[in-house]
Amino acid sequence: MVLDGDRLLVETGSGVVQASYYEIQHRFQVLLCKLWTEICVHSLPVPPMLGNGSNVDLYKLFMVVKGKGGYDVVCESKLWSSVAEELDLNVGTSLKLVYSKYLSALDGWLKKVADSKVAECGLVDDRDKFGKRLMELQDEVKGLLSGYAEKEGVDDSKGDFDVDEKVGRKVRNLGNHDAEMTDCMMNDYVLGELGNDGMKGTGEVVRIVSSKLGVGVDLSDAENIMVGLVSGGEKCDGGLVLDASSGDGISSGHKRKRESMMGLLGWVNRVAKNPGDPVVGSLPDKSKWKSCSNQEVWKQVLSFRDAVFFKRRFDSTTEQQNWKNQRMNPFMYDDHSGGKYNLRERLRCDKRHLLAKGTAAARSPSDLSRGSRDLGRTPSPHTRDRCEKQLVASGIDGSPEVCIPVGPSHQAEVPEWTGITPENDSKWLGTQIWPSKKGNSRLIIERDPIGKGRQDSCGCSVTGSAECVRFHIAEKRAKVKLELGAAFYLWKFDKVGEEVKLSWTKEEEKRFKDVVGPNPLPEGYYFWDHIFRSFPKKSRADLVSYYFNVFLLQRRAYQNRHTLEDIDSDDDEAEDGLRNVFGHQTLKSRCSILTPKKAAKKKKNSK
Amino acid sequence: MRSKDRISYFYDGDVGSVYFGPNHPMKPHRLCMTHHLVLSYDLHKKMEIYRPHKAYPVELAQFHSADYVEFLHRITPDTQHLFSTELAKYNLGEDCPVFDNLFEFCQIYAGGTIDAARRLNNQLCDIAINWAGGLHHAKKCEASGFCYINDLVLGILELLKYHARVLYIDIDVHHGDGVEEAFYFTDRVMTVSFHKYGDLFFPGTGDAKEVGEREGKYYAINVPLKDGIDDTSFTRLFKTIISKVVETYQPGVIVLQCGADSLAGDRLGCFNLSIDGHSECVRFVKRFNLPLLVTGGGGYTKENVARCWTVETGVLLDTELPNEIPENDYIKYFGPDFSLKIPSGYIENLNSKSYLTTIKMQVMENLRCIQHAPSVQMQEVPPDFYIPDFDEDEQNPDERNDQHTQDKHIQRDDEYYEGDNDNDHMDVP
Repeated sequence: MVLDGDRLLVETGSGVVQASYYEIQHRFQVLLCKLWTEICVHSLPVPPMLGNGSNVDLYKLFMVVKGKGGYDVVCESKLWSSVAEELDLNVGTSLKLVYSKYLSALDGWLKKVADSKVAECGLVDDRDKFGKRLMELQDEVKGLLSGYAEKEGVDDSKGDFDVDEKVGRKVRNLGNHDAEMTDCMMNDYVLGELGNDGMKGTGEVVRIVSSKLGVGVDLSDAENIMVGLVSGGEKCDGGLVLDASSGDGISSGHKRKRESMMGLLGWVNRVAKNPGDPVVGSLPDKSKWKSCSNQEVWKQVLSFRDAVFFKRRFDSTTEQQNWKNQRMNPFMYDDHSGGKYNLRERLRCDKRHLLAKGTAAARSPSDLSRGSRDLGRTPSPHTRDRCEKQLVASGIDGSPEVCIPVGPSHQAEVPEWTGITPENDSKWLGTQIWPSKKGNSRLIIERDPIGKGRQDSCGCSVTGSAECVRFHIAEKRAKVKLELGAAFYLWKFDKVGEEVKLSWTKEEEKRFKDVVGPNPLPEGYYFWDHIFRSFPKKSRADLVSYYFNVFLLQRRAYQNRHTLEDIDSDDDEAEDGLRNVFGHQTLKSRCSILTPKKAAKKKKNSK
Repeated sequence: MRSKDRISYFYDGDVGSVYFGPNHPMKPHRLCMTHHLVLSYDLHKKMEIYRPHKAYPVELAQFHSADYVEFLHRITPDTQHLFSTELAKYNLGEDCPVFDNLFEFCQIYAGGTIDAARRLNNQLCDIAINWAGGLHHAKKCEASGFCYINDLVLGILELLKYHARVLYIDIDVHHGDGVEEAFYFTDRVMTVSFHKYGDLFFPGTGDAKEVGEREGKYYAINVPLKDGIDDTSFTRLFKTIISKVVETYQPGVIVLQCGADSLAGDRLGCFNLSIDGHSECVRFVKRFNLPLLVTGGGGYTKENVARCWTVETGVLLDTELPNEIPENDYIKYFGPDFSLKIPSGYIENLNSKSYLTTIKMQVMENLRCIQHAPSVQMQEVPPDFYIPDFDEDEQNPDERNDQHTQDKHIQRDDEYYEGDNDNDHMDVP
């Protein structure tokens, strides 16, 4: 690590360590980033750059403003230009913007700590341990604040380190650090007693506190603070293990992972464009995912998805550790959507907790208004905010979203489930036709097993001949008729099959055939129009019945024997001579005959 | 495991002669053919057959708007030219023509589904079948896609009187939009639809993004598929999703829409399913041993519709049917092979493995959202239904050490398709 000349001596509780101004500055930034992630603000580029290309030293800016009495004082007294002077910059107004953008969250957080609201929140939380730790931390932070107030420059940074170290020691005492989470990045610039554990411990405690405070800080709105605190507590309850262990992931992975994320993004992009893209490769079975390397792009995506869908599955294996680290991957916070994910996570906590406590009167800050509407609108805990829906939905198809029409003229009225079922009513259960209640079912001759198929052989002289088939159909018919009794007529079995033609004269049959089948069919010729006209005395039902039961059946019988490759008994207008044409058309319009509706009509009519 | 034994089957001889009009692909005559084939296999001896009551307009208005029902009641082919505004308003005339006995037809098929639901409610049967029903496109205030009255919604509303949660499953090739829309806001009905989606395929809805809203959020599941899905992929996906759905949602009763237009060779469909694949879904749902309402739906190649629903009647009756169709009055329709089963289709399967995986995972994620927060009371003790234990995803990977099992988990690129090593037939013990 390159140290600039401006070395500082920092006194800690257990000795003196050397630290450069740069290190302090860097750690300040890390702390800031951590705070942002906790309060679900998507990360901003650090360090901020002004319009003239010069970078702003956030740490120095923070210190200078603090020295002048804080943001509000500086604003009121119009001291921004002097702040700019101290930072060797010459644009005061931009600095104001930078401060409000980058540092107001930290400001608000520190203020809340100072106002001892932390203590209250710690008590609200039933987990005493956290409460105690919080109190301790609050003291530390107060010390830090007083350090800010009393001193400047070197002394400030001392105070900063002081806090870190003490906190770190406490955490160490609590045994909450994890030796495995060694982080080389930290090693680079944290020396002596102020080692990994201390730094990590700081990170962790800061994280815990800020997660408790998270929403409250973000809102920077006094009336919302309780909601935030409550939800923060809830988050700790639910996700402590996960979050605590992954806190390091942020600081360590922040820079390291960024490069690989570009590859990941590109991969996702390609898959989104074409799910069949060879780049996708083949995914192994889910049960094998764990054993796959994290270098696999899809694995990273899955981890990401895992994080997005907030699966709370923990165990102590290293794989899980990796996944959790990835869950907190900085990638998620580098862009806007990352912020949303985190936002949602918090919203869910909100709702869950609120539901459990039955306090529906919560209000969300303005940027969460969508979520708050959802919350007010429905008591269902599974409801999530809109942005999530969009994100979840983004996977499968790039086609535009089709809106399901909603409203009283579309949805059925579904009553609430009361658990009380109405009394049995015997109305409208249908009329039993079979087995017949008259008792003639006794006459059934149980010769054949149920579900018997067609016999291969029969006693007919020419098996399979028209006569043979006709005989067996008649035989079956007689048997069915005997069996069914009244049902035979109720089911209109007397008007089924070629029996129908018994009520037709030979001449009528011939006329029917002639009307249907002038060959070839002229364009726009609909035989039904002519049939209805040709048989004024017959009802339409009779004509349709004849068509399906006799005419079509006979035509089909002919096809079965003579034109095997052209069998079709569904195309009303088709006639043998035109079959190929129509068959082709049917095939072509197969997938669109119904859609869109207008086209369907035209196609149908054109056929 | 309790076996289903009481089956109620609904049929009205009048539906067979209903005619939508020349060139209309919907041919109620298929119902007549189905019934005939069912009887020719003597399946009626294993079940009770009922003639449904004709549903009264007031019953239809339990879901539909009263003015729409009234209009359907009033309109005839001879008077329709006087009501062009109303026809347009109610979307009648194109896909949904006005024909003779239109209202009576609606009354019959809707009455069948309502009666079926009532018999299930009164525990008079365990499975009720109404092949005439299943017209899932009909909307509250308009007709759509050959459907006028949504008997499924009416049946489900009836079932909701006795059951806290109703699961609706739809394997029609078209999206079950009418049912989904009707229950979009409620968690008391979960709708699951497997359908062709994309290329402006009717009705255009059914994206996986549609998950329901308000209380109903995540209680609408859509499985959008592309052309040419085959038996293996379909049944695999179906079983994975449905078993998870039943496990998660714990419905008190299941409504299964068995639209036969998802079969290979359908005039309007574009899948490659054989009757075996189609009926495998029915068999799978039956295994849950929950009260089950089975309806028909689409299906525009008459003979295949009759074949399919006959086989599925057999499946529900635990009767394996021989492939040789017995003699009957309609046997000539089933030529030249006169066999019951039809082969799978040969349309190119556009559903890539990764596509199906993506869909499956998305559905699972949405289901997980429900798992975290059941909102309708789940304390209702579910019947002793049976959840097949086959979902590898749900099993603890640490427990599987044996080499054979491990080997079977090696993924092959052809894994979603036919193959000897296909490691997941979803065969249920």
